[in-house]
Amino acid sequence: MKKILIVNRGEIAVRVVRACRDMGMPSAVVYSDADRASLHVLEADEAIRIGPAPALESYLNIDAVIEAARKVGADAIHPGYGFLAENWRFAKRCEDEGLTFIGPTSDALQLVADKIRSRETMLAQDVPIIPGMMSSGKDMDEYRAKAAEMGYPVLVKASAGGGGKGMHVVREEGALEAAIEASSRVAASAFGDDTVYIEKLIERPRHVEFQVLADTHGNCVHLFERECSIQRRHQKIVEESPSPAVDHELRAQMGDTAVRAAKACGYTNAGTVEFLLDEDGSFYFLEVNARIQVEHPVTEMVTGVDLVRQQILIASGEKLDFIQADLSQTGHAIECRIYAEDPRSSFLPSSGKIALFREPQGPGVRHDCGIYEGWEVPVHYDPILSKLIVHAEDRDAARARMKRALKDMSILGIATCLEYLADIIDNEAYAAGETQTDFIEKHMSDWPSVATSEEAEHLALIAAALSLSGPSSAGGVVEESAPSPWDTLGGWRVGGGR
Amino acid sequence: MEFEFTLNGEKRRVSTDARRPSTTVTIDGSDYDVDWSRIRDGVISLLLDGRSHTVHVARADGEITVDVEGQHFVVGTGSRDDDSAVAAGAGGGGGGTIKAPMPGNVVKVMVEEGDEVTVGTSIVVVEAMKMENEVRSGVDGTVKKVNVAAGDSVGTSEVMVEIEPAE
Repeated sequence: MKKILIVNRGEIAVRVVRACRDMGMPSAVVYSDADRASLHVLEADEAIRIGPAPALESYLNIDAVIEAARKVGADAIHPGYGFLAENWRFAKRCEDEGLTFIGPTSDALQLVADKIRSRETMLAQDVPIIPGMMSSGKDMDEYRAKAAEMGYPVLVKASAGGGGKGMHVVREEGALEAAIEASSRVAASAFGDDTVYIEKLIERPRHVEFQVLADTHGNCVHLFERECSIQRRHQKIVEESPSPAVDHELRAQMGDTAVRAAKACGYTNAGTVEFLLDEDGSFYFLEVNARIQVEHPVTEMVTGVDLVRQQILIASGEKLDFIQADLSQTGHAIECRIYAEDPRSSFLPSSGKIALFREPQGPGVRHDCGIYEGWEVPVHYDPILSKLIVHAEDRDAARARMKRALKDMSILGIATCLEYLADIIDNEAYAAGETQTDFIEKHMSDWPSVATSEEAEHLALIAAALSLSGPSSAGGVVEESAPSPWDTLGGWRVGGGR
Repeated sequence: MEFEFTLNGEKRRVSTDARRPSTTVTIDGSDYDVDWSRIRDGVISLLLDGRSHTVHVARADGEITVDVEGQHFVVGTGSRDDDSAVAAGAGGGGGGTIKAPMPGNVVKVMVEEGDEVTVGTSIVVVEAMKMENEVRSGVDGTVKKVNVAAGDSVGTSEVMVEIEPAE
């Protein structure tokens, strides 16, 4: 491998740039017109424009990506997550063009993207799957019969689906037909495939996934679990490793199953096998995420393995230089995803200039960041800004550290979910490890529930008054840096410019 | 200086003489002894009874967002003491008098006498230390008098433009 083209943006592109640099591997990034000043371009060895702001014309434009790879002389492509990462047609195109796609083969990608086919594959390997249909129903009668057989409540799912799209919970037969029609309609428009099927609904499950690494020589290991049950609208927002619900025995059992699942798909490179974990300890295969995941850092923190580096080594044809017995989980790691979303206004995405940015620091704190102070958050892409990850000796210490780090972090100028995350970490149910997938619904629906303290209000009023006061040489203020009350913000035009 | 702020829907009266590093801030009649230091743009260190609080502050039209150790407060900035240098431009008050926010140079005058303006209309751009500040109207009305032109230097609180507020 001579040079890697990183086809992504934001924090993950920065993450991959750094991995390449650590390895002495030349790399280049692509950027759209909206991202000329984005951090991944600033951090890159080389950057090449790929198209206009809309993702379809830039980060999702396969022809433009291939052309960019040729131009910069890259012989490998790292797709990050999202965008083209799990697009088997893109992987196939790379294979055809003689470019190394840093991920699984297009065949494996195609298999894991098809939920029904992967369920069949898992069943053949004795990987437990959620009881349900193995194909779409030929008519409503078949759906009705299957649902009655497995017992309500059931879940209607799109075979090509993901991210909760086209998913419907049905609690009684009367609602089944409407759910199937709705799901199939959404699936047709979102995924171009209207195939839907029914699964038994597991109530109050946890979402527990296993990281796997598989080289091209037949070696496959797992790097233990991540629990990602804290989800809002089916998007994970807080993740951790180890899971508070998995003990040593269950971990070994699930880990073995994950390795078997990956092998059954002919999977290579880094991937994640997702399971639903029921309250009674039984677990079911959900799907394979065929990419580096957003939450990969929690695994890196507890195992000490650099997963992006491993991805590059595996794609270069190297053998894994460790076996399962070499791997262990040390301490506890938690990740919070920092989104530009306003928890006070129905989590609407927030764009605009980052007026002030303070990163948390200290032992056991890692911040995978795609932003900087003064940067204008574009409206065109996913609102993820950064990920805050902490590592400590045990879960309680990690929680305390995360709480501290969230309080130490400040982003002003745009709305973020920082306060909301701090309240999740502080929640008693979270502290007790009761992190089922209904956590947000159950414990956060009345947010913000805690009234702000009078002391904090007074501090805010004092700060507001002082920020408007002056000009002054008081308080050690240096005239050069703060000549006037107008300059309370770097780069902001007072009274405008937003 | 006196301020009338809005916080969580309530009016709060805050006054301070911030010229000294140790000052008294009065909130609705209660006094706080504050030792303060502006660390850099947007970052203020407060010591209250020896307790250290580093707060982060960002200003936008008519409001100030304050991050107090992870908790965000949006403070509405109402009308303030007329002698305040900032009264004219924060978008929330100051009547029809557009004053220079700081010593600097007028880069651009965006209005002429007789122009109709509304709240938020850009009136003058003043530049200082390579930073441009767009001063906007805090009222709806008609431009009565323009006292400055591009290239003029102005001093703090110098009246640049006068606006006759509409009814």
